Amino acid sequence: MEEGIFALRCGKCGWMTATYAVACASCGTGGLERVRLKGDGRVLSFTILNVPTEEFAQDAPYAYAVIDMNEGCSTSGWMPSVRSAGDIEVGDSVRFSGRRGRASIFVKS
Amino acid sequence: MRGVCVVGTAMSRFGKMSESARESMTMTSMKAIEDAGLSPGDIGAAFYSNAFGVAERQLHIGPLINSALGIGDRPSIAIESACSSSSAAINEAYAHIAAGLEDICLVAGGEKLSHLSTMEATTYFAMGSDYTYEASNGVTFPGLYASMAVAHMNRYGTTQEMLASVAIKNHSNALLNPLAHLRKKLTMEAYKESPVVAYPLHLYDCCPFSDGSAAVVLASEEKARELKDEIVRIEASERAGTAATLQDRRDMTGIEGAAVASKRAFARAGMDAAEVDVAEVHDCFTIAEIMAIEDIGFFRKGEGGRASVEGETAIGGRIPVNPSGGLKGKGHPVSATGAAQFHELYEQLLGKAGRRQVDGAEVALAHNIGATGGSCTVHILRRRR
Repeated sequence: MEEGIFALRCGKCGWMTATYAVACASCGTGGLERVRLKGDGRVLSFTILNVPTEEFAQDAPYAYAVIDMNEGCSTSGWMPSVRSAGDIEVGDSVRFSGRRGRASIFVKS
Repeated sequence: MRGVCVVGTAMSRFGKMSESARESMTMTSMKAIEDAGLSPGDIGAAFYSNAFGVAERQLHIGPLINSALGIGDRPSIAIESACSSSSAAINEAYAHIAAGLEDICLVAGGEKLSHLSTMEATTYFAMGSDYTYEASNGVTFPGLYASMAVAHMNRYGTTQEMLASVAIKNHSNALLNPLAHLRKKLTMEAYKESPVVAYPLHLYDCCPFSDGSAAVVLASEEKARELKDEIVRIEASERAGTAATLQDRRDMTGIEGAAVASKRAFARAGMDAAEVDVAEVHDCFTIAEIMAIEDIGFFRKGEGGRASVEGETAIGGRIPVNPSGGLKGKGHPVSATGAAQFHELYEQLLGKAGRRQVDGAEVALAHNIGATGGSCTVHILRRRR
């Protein structure tokens, strides 16, 4: 998989998503462009997983965060270095630091 | 559109069962048909839900159940809408009858998950999320609702005690329900001591993995009046969606589709939230009940936690919510849940809910959510003479 973190942007109204889409959810325009994100953002919300899925069986506890990226879209990320609720708060600055498989790894910045 | 009524319901004991989902759904369907005063041959079409059928290596369950009911010649279809599967199936049956395509339809949902390990079941449940963009980053189903809880706590000051109060109330209601999965009183101490599954959600914030089934028979109002002296009419059957992936939503402190479906349902029924006497809402996690009672409009946004801790949603409170014990106490055999909500509300409206009866209930609301709110169904039922 290509290194980096990406989003899709509507050329007409600027709406962005970091998931899969072929049309803008804001103005309905088709043909979104793929843009590379710088990787910096803030925690919108988070949780600490103690009971993981099979793929993360060896990794718990760790944080999962929904992150507001500076470019104006939200993404989500795996934060393996955050292991308890005391280590993270809504609003914390975080940055993208690489991948493991499909997971986007984020660290506090 | 023709009027559509509930004429019969049934549910199995929820919990761990030895039989397959197919067998349980068949037996429960038969009970619902008998409850309606009908026989299987009266069913025009059947709508089934068994979202996790693959966990039992079985798809295309409809013809199997129809055949076991002796009506292998009738059409059936399986409806999958994650945890809202059977309320979506009820909506389809409703539409068939309202449109005049059928007079009487059967809806049943069921699940068997107890043969899976906790981690296997957690993985299956995560498949209801956006697996590519959410589960691939390590989040589980409880984890997604936990993220909503953190957002709600951060914005509205919702507390752990408020979350706990939902679990304690629903456990206490489940104690009054002989078919409930968890029939155990829950104390604040036991809640606090239970392990944290996904911060801030403790084990007791989460509904259990349950086996079980529930079934509903719907009929045109004309047929219902032939069958029953007192009818329970579906005043509204509304569905709506929300952006599927949590990160694509403007607001994580509620479920937009649930608010939209509720608004449409009240408009269709020509009433407002204050007229509802009893509600069954989707409390897969305690935070989900708090968001539900706000999204429906029973309480203002941000007031759901306070209302819960102050007992406004208890049986005897301002608006009794989940007298059955809800998903939390009664259990959550995923595809059975929407139909099981109907079973509880049908009994409540007919005054047959025993020790958990809400006195004089005439208007009832069912709120059922698929996954984290990508699918939302709201039904309003009213007892009429």
